Parts: sequence; structure tokens; C-alpha cells
Amino acid sequence: MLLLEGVHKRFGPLHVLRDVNLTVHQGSVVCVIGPSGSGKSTLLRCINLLEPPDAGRILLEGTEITGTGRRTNFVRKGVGMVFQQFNLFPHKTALENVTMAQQKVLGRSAEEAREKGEALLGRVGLDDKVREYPERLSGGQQQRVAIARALAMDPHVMLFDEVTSALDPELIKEVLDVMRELADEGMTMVVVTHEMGFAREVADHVMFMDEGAVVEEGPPAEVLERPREERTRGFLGLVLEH
Amino acid sequence: MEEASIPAGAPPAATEPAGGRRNVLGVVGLVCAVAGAVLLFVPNVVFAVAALPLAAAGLVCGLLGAKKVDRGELEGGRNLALAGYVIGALTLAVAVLGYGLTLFAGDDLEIFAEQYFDRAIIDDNLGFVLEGFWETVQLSVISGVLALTWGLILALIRRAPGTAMAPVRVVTIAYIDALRGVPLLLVILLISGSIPFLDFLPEALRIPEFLGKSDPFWFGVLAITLTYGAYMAEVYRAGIEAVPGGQMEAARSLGMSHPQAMRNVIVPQAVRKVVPPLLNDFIALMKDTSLVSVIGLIEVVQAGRDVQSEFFNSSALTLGALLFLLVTIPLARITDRLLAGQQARVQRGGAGPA
Repeated sequence: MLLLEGVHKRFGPLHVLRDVNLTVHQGSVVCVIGPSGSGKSTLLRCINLLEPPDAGRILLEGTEITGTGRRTNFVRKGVGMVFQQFNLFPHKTALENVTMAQQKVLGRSAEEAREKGEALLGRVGLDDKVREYPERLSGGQQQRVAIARALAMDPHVMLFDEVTSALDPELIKEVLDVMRELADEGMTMVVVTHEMGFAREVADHVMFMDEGAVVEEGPPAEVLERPREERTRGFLGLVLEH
Repeated sequence: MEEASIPAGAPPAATEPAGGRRNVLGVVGLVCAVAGAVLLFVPNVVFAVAALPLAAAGLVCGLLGAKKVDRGELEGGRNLALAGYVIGALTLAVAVLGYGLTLFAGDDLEIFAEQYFDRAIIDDNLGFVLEGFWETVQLSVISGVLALTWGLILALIRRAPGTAMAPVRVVTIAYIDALRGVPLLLVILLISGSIPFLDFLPEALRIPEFLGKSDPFWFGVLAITLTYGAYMAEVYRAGIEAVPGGQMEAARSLGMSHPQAMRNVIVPQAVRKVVPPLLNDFIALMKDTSLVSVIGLIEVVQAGRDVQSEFFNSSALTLGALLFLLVTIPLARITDRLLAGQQARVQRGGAGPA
């Protein structure tokens, strides 16, 4: 379980996160939506301490990870993150991308890491791309490798930061399908996304953010179909128009 | 530079004679031109005169062969033909210039050639100059490897994260600035002139004689490593900064520590990016080893000077220059190739595995 209590983040004069509270239960999927610059990505980056929050508490599996004596490595082993720009290691093959941290961070043997890596790449549909370098993979394939790389660390929670925004339209589905399967298997997920269809279908909980604050949240049927707030309606109108 | 870019520009057509119409014209041109160039250096008037029409034929055939490829009348062999044209033209130019000078200024030419290309002096001192060059090579390789390592260490310290490391970073930056801003010759003199008198140091360091090499050699190694380490630190830094920030974030988000991420993710990518500029620095380093001659090391330049002052003739130094070029020109070509490859990868839009 992941718990955020009154999280604030400032970049100089910019107040990027204002009093964000969030509970993510085991096995549930939270989708975070909102206009660009609303603080969605910063929220994810606070959760795995790439940007430590300025105030508030974050608890992962009951352990506080913020404040003095931050538990950076504990967090990063327990929280998997997938980025908009994939960020695969270009000098490593797909398999090596998935095995490196298993060996260096978790101390798994090369054999063990390889078996796990091959199994995970198979699971995201890339059995035949194991030895390819990222340069030779499509964006959708690269993003699926990135998901496998994060899963290899056996995380409690997976964070997805607009993972389909850099993809050509025909490649989006293959990535969303993998995420859908993960959700069905009971992975705990926080997903920042502009894919409203995905949010409606997969999310247990939808959170709409604007200007660093949570404007509205609830089950997808409520937030996406019958938004109470004017700003939510305005945003959904713009997103669904095209 | 231009020759190097031709195969990249027009690859398959230039090498595969499709349709079976080989570029006979180009091949003939190249053969003639090479034959002419070789004959020119045979010390016999008949051969030398025969070189002229051969070179001219090479020039014409080569140029026509290349043009026919451009017009699409022939396929393939453009680079061969072009080589014939270039060699033919240069041979002709050298021959005409040579004949002209011999005719109108034969005595002057002889004096000039004797000063710079005296075969007797070169032959007599070949062993001595080669020994000096071997010394240059050893000094370059040892200093080069140490400077590459020291530079990387400096660059990594300079990038060490966290507020607590600020003083260390400042000291490193100060060191790099200082050594980049001082002539290597001055560093060599500072080291060799006074380290032997620093009584608090163990004798093995004051008068270093590892591996059977003299103390000027090791003082040179130290000075070059300290100086070129600073240059190379800047090159590595540029490489590290050129790795996208997302790489570090991805590595950290997988639980790697900063040193782990540097070692496994950032540095391997950074080093690949900076191999060409590091090679350039190595070429400069190799040339600068000649400065160690001022503290008594007989490397190739000093060997040439010794011969020069004994015979009042520069031919041994000419030989030294040729020996340098033997190493530095291939290195420069490799650097260009690597750079062109990187450029192509950037234009294709990928960082690439290599």
C-alpha cells in the first residue's frame, strides 16, 4: 500500500504540488489526469524520491520514506518507474537492460537474472528481440522493454509517467495492452496518462489535478462521466473533443 | 576529408559494377598513374622521362572514368578512377616542378635536397634516430594511458554529487584550470629541477628508475600525465554531460547508487562519445613528448638535433618528422572515420550501441 499525506513540492518560486493526499490500495490502479504543468509527473517523481517532497509524508508498505533519513534505496527497489522517453540504456541489449539492475542492485546471479529477464521479455511479447539493441526497436517495443526492466525488480508499486505520449498512434495499443494485463494480474499501479479510454476501463480511482492540487477524484465513472467541478469538465471537454 | 566522405555518400554504386560494364578506363588510369609515380623515383633519366606520359595518361583516363560514372555511362569504380586522377595529377606536378628546378636552378636544388634529404646521413644515423623514436613511443603510450585514467578520475570527482562534496569539486576544478593554463614545458622544469632535492621523499621517487628507464623519462611521464590529465578531464566531462539526464534517472529509479549508475550506465556511454576527441588529445600529447628533450631525454627530436649539430644538416630531423607522421596520420584518419560514423548515427536519430 502507498500513502501520501499533505505532500508539497516547490521549485524556487513555483509551488508545483499543493497538499496532495492519496491512498493506493494493494492491487488497485490509480490514474492521474490533468493538463500539462499540473504537477502529475512531479507527483510520481516525489513518490520514488527522484524529487524529494518539501513537506508531507509518504508511506510505502507502512514505512515512512520521506523526512530525515530518507529511505532512497528501499523506495527505489520497491517502486518501479516507467518514463515517457523510455530511457533504455542504449549501449545494452534488451536483455541486458532487464538484467543489469537485478545483478547490481539485488545481487542475483547472472543465470537467475537472465531467466527472469527472458521470462519478462516474453511476457511483454518480445521473445524474439532479446538480443537487439534499443536502437533497433520501435518506440512501442522499447517501452515494453522498459516495463519489463522495472518489473524485474519485483516492485510493490509501478509508476507510469505518460508512457504512451512519445509513441506513434499505432504503437500505443501494444503498450496499453501490457499495462492492462499487469492491472488484471493485481499489480498496484499509479498511472499518469492522457489516455481517457484506458483510465475509464482500467482505473479503480481517477484523480484530476490542476495547478499542483487535486481538484476532483473518485471512481472513473464519476470523475470521467459526471464531473462535479467546472475545471474537470473544461479539461475533459478539451481532451475528448479531438 | 573529401575522399573519406565519398564512400558514405554514394555507397553501393561505387563498389559494385552492376550490369557488368566495369570501369576499365578508371583501372587503366590508376595503373598508369601509379606506374608513373613509381618511375619518377627511379634515379635514371630514361625511366624518369617515361614517367611523364604515364602520369598524364593516368590523369586523363582517371578523370574521364570518374566523369563517365557521374554521367551514368559507367557504373562503379568511381573511387578507383578518382585515385588515378589524383595520383596522376600530383605525379605530373612533382615531375614538372622537379624538371623545372633542375633545369633552371639545379645547384640550388641540390643544396636544398642535401640539407633535408641527405641519404648518407639518414642511413648512417638511422639506428640512433629509431632508438629515439622508440623512446618517444614508450613515453607517449605510458603517459597517454596514465593521462586517460587520471583524466577520467578527475572528471568523476568533478561530477561527485551532493553538497558535502562541494570542497572536493572546487579543488578539482582549480587543479584542472591551473594545469590547463600553464605551459607543459614549465611543468616539466618544475618537476625535474626540484623533485630530486625534496629530501623528505623516498629516493625511488626523487630519482625514479622504474623499468630500466632514466629519471628524465619518468619526470616527463609525470608532467605529461598531470597536464594532459587536466585536458582529458574536460573532454570526459563534455561526454558525461552529453548523456541525457533520463539515463541517470532510469538507473537511479532501478535502485542503483550514484557510483553504480556512473560505472554501468553513464561512463560507458560517455566514453564512446569522446573517443575521437581523446584520440586528438593523444596526437597532441605524442607531439608534446618532444619537450622532455630539454631535461636530457634523447627522444626522436633530440636525436635529430644531435645529428643536426654534428653534421650541420637537418636530414635526421626530416626522418624524425616522417616517423611522427607514420603514427599521427593514421590516428587522425581513424578519428575522422569515427566522427563521421557518429555524425551518421546522430542524423539517423539513434545513440547507437557502438
